[in-house]
Amino acid sequence: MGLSASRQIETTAISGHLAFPTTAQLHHINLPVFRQLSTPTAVNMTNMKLLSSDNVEISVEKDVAERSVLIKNMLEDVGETMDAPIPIPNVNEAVLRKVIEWCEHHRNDPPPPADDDSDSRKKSTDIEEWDQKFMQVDQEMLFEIILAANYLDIKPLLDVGCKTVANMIKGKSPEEIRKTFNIQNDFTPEEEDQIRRENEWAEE
Amino acid sequence: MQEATVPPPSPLLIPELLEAILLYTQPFTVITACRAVCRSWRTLVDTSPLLRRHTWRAEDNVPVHRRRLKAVGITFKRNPMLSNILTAFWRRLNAHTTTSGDGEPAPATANELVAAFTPICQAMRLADPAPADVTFRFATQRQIGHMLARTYRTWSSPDEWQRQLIDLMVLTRLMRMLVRLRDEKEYQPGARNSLVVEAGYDILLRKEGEVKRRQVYVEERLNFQCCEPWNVSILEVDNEHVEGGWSL
Repeated sequence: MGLSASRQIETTAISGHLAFPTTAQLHHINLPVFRQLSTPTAVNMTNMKLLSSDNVEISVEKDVAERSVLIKNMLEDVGETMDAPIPIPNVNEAVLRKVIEWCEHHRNDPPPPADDDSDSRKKSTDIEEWDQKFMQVDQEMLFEIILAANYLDIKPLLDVGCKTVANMIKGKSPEEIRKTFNIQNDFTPEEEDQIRRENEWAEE
Repeated sequence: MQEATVPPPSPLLIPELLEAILLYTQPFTVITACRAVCRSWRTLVDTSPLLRRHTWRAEDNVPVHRRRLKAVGITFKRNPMLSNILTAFWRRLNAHTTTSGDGEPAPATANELVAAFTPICQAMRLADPAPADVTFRFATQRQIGHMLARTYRTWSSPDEWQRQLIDLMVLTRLMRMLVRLRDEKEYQPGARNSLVVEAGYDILLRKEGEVKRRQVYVEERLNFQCCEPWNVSILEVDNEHVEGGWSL
């Protein structure tokens, strides 16, 4: 049942002239809400459209999109009457859908505590289970999610992304870090030598 | 799809994002491994105020008159890398002794070892807030036949210093004491030894929202394992003022 429903939505998204799935259906199959809104009558008041960098329109509920401070501010400036899709020029479709998936799961999260940087920041490197699974993507996607979260100003998602990368650094030697992230070692032999001396105390 | 010549975008190339990532990375890893990755990482670790704070870097060249200021905190937090540094020292000190064969340690080499730790101790802060005084109490215990021999030594920061102990240089005093205890054979490799150092810090604390401050003595126990793998563990921090589970 769930499977056939999901197929139906895919067709809907592509051809655009099949009946829209009901909200109940969508909830049931737990898919992000993206529909091609060719018929204005079908626009839910709480829905809006985003336009990815590769020109794909993605419909998303307003309060989900407003997890992004950038979009929230934009909507406030415009006065909430956005019919045209909001262009997100830095984020492609695949990444945008992934970001929306995260926003939907976290739509009811309480707002983060007021920014007292130093302490709330280093508080914990734990990542909740759902987010851990969410971040099990290849490195390129992980990096793009982080860049998108930064651009869209979704701080909690940015934090999860940064923690994920920090976990990848954990316990690695400089050479292993370079290898993992494809970083060029650009130290001169003299600098290399100096660093070795500075780190001498930590050698086993 | 990306063209082959365009490198994939990376948050690691954006200083603000790399900074955010390194702030979630353990200070010890940042200071040793991350700093040695490439030039831009090293520059960031050395210059970002947030990362310098995160990695407990001491300010360069704190003028003497500033050292006399009384730092006051809400809670006490000791540099977590103290245990990394002491463990590294302890292992090498004893590895040196045990590999030197006939057991006659060369004092020059032990001093060289302390000297190797001087730069890192100079570069790091001891605790937050900086203590006004520090005391180390050494207690060793070893078995000779059926008897237990105990020794006690104490080192306190001299009164004439009259300044706060900002950096970790007091650790080099602790290290010299360890070398002395070793040279005097107060501990020897073997399971029947024990060596505990009680580190006490005199600090100034105030309650949140209050101006009044009071002097508090915080103490922790460092256990030096006297056989392989020569671990150093912090046994207990018997104080309510210490950050992490304790509160004022």
